[in-house]
Amino acid sequence: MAAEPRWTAGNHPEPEQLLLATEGQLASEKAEPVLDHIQQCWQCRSRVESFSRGIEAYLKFRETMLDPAAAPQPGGWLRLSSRLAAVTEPTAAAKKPFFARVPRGVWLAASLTAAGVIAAVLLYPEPVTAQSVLDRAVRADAGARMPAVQRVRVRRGGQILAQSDSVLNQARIDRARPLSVAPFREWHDSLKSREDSVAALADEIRVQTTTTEGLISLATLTLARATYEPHAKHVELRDGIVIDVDSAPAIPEAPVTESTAGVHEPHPAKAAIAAEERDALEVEVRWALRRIDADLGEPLEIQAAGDDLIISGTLDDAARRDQIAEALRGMARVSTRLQLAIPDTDLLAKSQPIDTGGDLPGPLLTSRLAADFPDTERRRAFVSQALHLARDIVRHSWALRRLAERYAPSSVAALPPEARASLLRLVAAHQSAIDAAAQQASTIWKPYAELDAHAVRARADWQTASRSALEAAQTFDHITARLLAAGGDDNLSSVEALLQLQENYRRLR
Amino acid sequence: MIFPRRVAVRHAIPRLEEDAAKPMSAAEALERHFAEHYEPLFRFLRTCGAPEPVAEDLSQEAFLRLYQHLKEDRPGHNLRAWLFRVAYRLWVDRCRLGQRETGVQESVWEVWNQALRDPAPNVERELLARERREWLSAAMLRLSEVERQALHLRSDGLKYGEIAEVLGIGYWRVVEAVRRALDVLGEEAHGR
Repeated sequence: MAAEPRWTAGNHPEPEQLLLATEGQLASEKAEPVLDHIQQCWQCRSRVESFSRGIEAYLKFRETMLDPAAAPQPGGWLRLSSRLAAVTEPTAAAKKPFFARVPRGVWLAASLTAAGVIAAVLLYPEPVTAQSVLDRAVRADAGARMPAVQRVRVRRGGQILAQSDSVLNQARIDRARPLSVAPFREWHDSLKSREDSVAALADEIRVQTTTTEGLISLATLTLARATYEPHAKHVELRDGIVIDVDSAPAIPEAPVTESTAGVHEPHPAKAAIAAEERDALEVEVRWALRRIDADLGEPLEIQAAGDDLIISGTLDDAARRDQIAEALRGMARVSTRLQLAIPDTDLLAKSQPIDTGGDLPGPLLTSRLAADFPDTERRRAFVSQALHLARDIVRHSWALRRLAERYAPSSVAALPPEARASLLRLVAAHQSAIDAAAQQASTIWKPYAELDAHAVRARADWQTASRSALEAAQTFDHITARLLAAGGDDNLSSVEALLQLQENYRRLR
Repeated sequence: MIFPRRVAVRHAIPRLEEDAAKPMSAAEALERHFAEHYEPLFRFLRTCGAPEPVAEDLSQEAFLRLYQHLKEDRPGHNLRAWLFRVAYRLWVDRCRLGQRETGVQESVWEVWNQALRDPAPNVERELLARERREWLSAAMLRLSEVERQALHLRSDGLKYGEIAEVLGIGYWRVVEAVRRALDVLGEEAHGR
C-alpha cells in the first residue's frame, strides 16, 4: 500500500524545508517526500524557482558589484610571510621553562578567565538566566526615576524610517516609555521556542533572544549592571525593519514659550549634543524631506540654532505645510517655522495677462508631432511626459547642487561615518532619480533624437559634477520646452535644437 | 585517533588530492590555504563592515592561527569553515574592544555603499544593464545584516550548519535568513 502523501493541496512544507531539500541539505528520508511534493505541487515548484532566481540575482550582484568593491590589495601573502617570520623566529624561547614559554597573553587570558569565573560566582550565586535578569530588570524599572530622554530610531537597510505606531506595536515598544522592560518580558515569556543569551559586559548586562515565532526575529535589552535599569533596546523584525532605542541623560525642562501658528517648539527635554550629532541629525532631516519630495525646489532652509535645527520656509499650500511639519514631527531637537504665503489680492487685481508673443514661431516640432500623433490626446500625452521628465531631471539636479553647496568634500569627510554614509545614499538617490528619468527620456525621444544612454559619468567628485549637471539639466529642460511647447525668436532650427538636446543629455550623466 | 603531523596536514586540504602523496610542511600547507581562502575571507570581513586594513589584519591573524593549528598536528576537518569562524570572532572581539556597538553597522555601510552606489565607468556597465543594477541594489538594501552575511557565506559554499557556527547563531535562524533573502531577491528578479 502506498504511503499517504504527507502534504496535500493547501498543506505545504515550510519554505525552509523546500530550500534545504532542493539544496541537498536534508537527510534523504526527510528530503524525498519534500522533493516528491515539489514535483506535484505547482505552488511549491514556483517557490523553488523563485529561490533559483534569487540565487542567480545574488551571484550576479556579487560578480559585478560586491566583489570588485571588496577585493583585497595585492601582496597579502608577502605581508603574512613577514608576520609569520616574526612569530616563528625566537627559537631560543623553546629552552625556557614551561611557564615562560607560554605567551604572556595566554597567562593573562587564563588569569582574566579565572578572575571572571570567581567574580561571576561571587556576584551571581544563582545561575544567570535571561529570565532571572528580566525579573530583576522589571523590578528595577518599576521603581526607576522619571525616564531619561529615550531616542527611538527605526531603520530598514540603514535608512531611517518614520516611527509609525504599527511598527512600534509590532516591535512591542511602548511609545510613551520606549525602554520599558515589561513589554520585552511579556514578549519573551510568550514565546514557545526561543534562544536566549546573557552577556555580562564591563558595566552592562545584555539579554538577547532570538525566535522563529511571530514578527520579531531578534531582540536585545541592555541593562545597567549595577542597577538593572534599561539602557538600550534593539529589535529586529522579520521584514527587515530594525528599531533601536537608547537613552540620554535628561536635563531640566526648558521654560515653556508661547507657540505661534505653524511653529513646533523644540523637544522640551533636550539632550546636550555635539555639533557632530547635529550634523548627523541634519542628514536625517534631509532624508525626511527627501521621502516626501520636499527637497526638490521648495523654499525650505535648514538652519542650526545651537544644538537644534530649525526648518523654515514659506509655502503657498496649507496641506503641504502640514505634510512637511508632520514628516519632521517627533524628531528631537528639530523645530519647524513654516509660514503660509498670503496672496496679495490688490496686486492680483492689477495684474495683466502675460504677452504670449503671438507672432513668435511656435514650438519647433509642432508639424512633426502633428504628423506623428494625429490623435490630439496622444500628442498631448507625449508632450506632457517629455516635459515632466525634463522637469524631474532639473529638480533632482537642483537638489544635488544644493547638497553640493552645503557639503564640500571636506565637510563630508568631517561627518560621522553613519551620517556620511547616509548622505552618500541621499546623493545616490538623487543620481538614481536623474538616471531613471533620463533613461525614460531617452526612450520616448527615440523617434526624434538618439539620446546616448551609455554616456560616461564624469570622473570628478559629485560636488563638482553637480554644477555642470545642473546647467545641462536646465538647458535640457529649456530645449525640451522649446521643441514641444514654447515659441521663441531664437532663430533655432529643429535640427539644431535636437543636437543641443543630445549634447545636454550627455552632460547630464 | 591521533594523526601524524603530515597526514593531518594533507587531510586538511581535501581539494588538493593530487598533492596527497607528497609530504607537506605546515608552512607549505598554509600557503596553499592562503591562496585558496584569503580572498573569500577578506571579502567576508569587508561585508561584515571591517575597514580594509582591519579586514587584512584579521584575515592574516586567522591564517597565523591556522599555522599554529597545523603545526600542532591538530585535526584539520573543514578548515575553511574554521578560518571563517576564527576571523569572524576576531572581528566581533575587535568591535567589542572598540566598544562601538553601532560602529559595526556604520562601517558595514561603507563597503555596501561602495558596492551599491558607485557606477564606475568600466566594463561593468557594459555587462550589467543599468536597470538591473538599480533593482539589485534596491533589493540588497531590503536585507538585514544577518541575511546578507548568511547569503554571502552560502554563496561561498558554506553549509547552513557551518554558517551558523561562523556567525554564532542558531541553525534555523541561518536557514530562515537565507530563505528570506532569496525570497526578496527572487521576488525582485521576477519578470525582470
